[in-house]
Amino acid sequence: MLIQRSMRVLACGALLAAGASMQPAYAEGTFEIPAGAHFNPDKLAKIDAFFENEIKQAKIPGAAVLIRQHGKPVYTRYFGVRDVVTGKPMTPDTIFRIFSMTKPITSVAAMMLIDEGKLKLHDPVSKYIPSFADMKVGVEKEGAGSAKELALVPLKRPITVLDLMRQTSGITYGFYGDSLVRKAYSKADLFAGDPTNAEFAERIAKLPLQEQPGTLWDYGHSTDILGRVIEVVSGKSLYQFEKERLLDPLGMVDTAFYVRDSAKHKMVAAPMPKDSDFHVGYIGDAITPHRREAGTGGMVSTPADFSRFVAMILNRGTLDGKQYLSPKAFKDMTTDHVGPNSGVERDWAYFPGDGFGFGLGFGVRTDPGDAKPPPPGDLGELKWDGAGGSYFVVDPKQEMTFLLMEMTPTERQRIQRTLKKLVYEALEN
Amino acid sequence: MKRWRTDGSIGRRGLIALLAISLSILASERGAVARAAPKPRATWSQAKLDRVGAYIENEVQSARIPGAVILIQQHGKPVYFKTFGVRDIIERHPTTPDTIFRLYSMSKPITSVAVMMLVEDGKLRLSDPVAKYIPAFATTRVGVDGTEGNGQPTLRLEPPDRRIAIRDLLRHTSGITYGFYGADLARQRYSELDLVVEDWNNAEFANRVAKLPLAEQPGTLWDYGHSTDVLGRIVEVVSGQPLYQFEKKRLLDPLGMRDTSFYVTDKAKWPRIAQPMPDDRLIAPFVPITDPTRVRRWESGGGGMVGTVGDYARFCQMMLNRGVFGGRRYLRAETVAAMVADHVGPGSGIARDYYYFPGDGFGFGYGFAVRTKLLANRAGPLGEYRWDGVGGTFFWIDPKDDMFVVFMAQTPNERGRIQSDLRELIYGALVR
Repeated sequence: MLIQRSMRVLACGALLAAGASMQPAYAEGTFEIPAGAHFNPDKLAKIDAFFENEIKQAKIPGAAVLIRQHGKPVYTRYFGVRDVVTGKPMTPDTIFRIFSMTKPITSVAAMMLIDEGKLKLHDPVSKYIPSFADMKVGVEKEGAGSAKELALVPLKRPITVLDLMRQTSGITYGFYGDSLVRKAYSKADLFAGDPTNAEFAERIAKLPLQEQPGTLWDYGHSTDILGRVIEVVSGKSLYQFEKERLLDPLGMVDTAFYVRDSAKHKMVAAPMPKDSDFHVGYIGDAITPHRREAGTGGMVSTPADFSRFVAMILNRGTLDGKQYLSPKAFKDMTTDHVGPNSGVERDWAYFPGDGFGFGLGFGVRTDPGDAKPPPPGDLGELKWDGAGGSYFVVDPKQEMTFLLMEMTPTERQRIQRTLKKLVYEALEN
Repeated sequence: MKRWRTDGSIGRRGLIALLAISLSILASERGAVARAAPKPRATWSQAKLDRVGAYIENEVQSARIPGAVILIQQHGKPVYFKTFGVRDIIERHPTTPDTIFRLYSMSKPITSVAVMMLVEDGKLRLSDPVAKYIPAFATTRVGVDGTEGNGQPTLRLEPPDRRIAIRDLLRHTSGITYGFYGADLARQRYSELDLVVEDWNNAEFANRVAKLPLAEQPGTLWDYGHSTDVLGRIVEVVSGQPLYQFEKKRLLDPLGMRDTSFYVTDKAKWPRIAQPMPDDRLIAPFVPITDPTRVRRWESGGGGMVGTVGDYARFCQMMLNRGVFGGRRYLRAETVAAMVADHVGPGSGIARDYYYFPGDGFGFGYGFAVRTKLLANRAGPLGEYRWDGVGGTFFWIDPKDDMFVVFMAQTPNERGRIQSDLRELIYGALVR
């Protein structure tokens, strides 16, 4: 029924693309390359060519790509400009809205409280936000005429912190899908009046759940609620807690929910002027001060900052001698929690994608997937991305990470996929 | 249709033999139409045609697409016709000539032809106001972005300067838009259509569109949108039949387009439906590719059809033959000429913006983009006409060289690059 949204950007991309420059490059074995692979610099140069062409064709203003292996930078490029209007160059300290790449940060913050014993994965969310005790699940049934109606049924079990972290709470988003519950989300004006995290959680608590907790991986506002739980448990605002415990110690100085320092406003990356609808249900920006600190998608960050976070994840929760996550917490976060015996189903909107399970805040590569040959990468890969196109991959097997930062809602999927392919095609034994 | 693999298990000669059978009806069309003037005889470089196949084969081998099919047909005969890979990477059925693909916006030319048949019947005029057939459009307003005193964006509603005409729907100048691109407020209102739960039929859908503000005044901007869906409803009102029934009787069945429809209702055909790569199934942020086995009441003339390469080839050959196929006339030659003439060019008063999807060098007719300007760096002669679909299919018809090309794959991600590369490769193989 969503066909009508379908005819997106048809011919123009096709006609603007470069000529027949693709050389046959048979990708053999970009899945599970034996450990110890190293990068062929000549093949990495194809990434240059790819992004330079994207910019030349005016698909994107610019992008940052950082590949690291064995703790050292292998490939660091700042392509194009951060804003086509100002023409200012892309730099390590260019500030991007990272959208859903906020979720892994919020999830790590929650795990730090779990490490301290202040929060448990199996705690009901209602222990911290009492109104969640009364939530109901919205079930569609036939109403009068051809219209469907929502019947509200009680929870079979309470929503837990684990459900929030692995996206199985039944809380959804209102900006995709066609169910009555998602429609109710869309109509609820959730963002009106710049709510605090506490107020936002109350608004969610009033909406029906899309399905029973623990039954479906359903991308939604769960991580926003997790952010509120962190506030309740820590007694601090989400940002203050993250700043003190994670962002400042890691040196993520420009990572926040908006850019406070007006001198840095000029560092903000802008999408192409006509490619500025991020399809996330609200219109935001990086610089307007606001109260809501959205743990699900509200942060801004820089290539320099986020590469610190990525390095900490590759290092299993420690960086520069400081431990952020215990080994157990790290293992919990990077283990698939929605696999075959979890009782959690996957539908068309299973965004972790082919070959991936989901840990606590990250997609986790668990199997080759359905595609043949399998998509590139290694088992154990951790990853996530954001609606603006930012994207990171942590490959423990190759001791390798890569980070992409860009602002393009329409081109992101293609660019992310191509970058990953080029990265793995450049790995040789 | 017999299945075969094209991975070398049968040679080119065997392949061509099969093609000759499957497309023999197309071949018989040659000569049915008197040519306007002798054309320079172009020949094909077999070595360069092989590069077309190598390119697609590489796309399959490197797992960018599960499979594809391409037909290059000239002078009524297949010059190059080949299937690649599988139609579904999970089931691993090979791609076959009868593999069914989601056509998406390649539905628009079919709907447009249906409309022009009714125009020829005298039941509809291009200048008729849309409101004559769908009264709800009599009160449609134009949305103008403004700001309140507090800086909040507002949408002001103004009356249209003139009524939307059938012609506007055909050439995308009605002011009706889509909700999935652009940031202005009227376009955002269209995204409401994307959150519908009710199983609307074409009448209900058109009435919903009529209630939304137009993105601009009619006749002022080429603006891609639900115009062709509204045309589908007009076909129903004028013909007294559901859109599919009218198209089936007048166009699809006579042309032999047996697998072209809005839904695949015959379960036996379900295994023939091509599926994109598992990681390439969104056609827009958070919008999944459609499931044609899930039957809805809506028959989207703008994007709802599925079909096969053979079916669409018949449609293209009919157009290339200026309205005739298999001895039957579907459209008058002058109707076809009008459909593939530019109606949005200089002097038309129609502006083009960032979202002018026909692209540089192209004008727009009734349902087709039409080449109006030669470009130094991009292949394609004046007068070629074309369109494509977000699912990964495209076609173009080149009257100058008396040829057309149909390519079908299911890949929202890779389609732009593939279309552009294949155009260059194919024209590179044509030795003038």
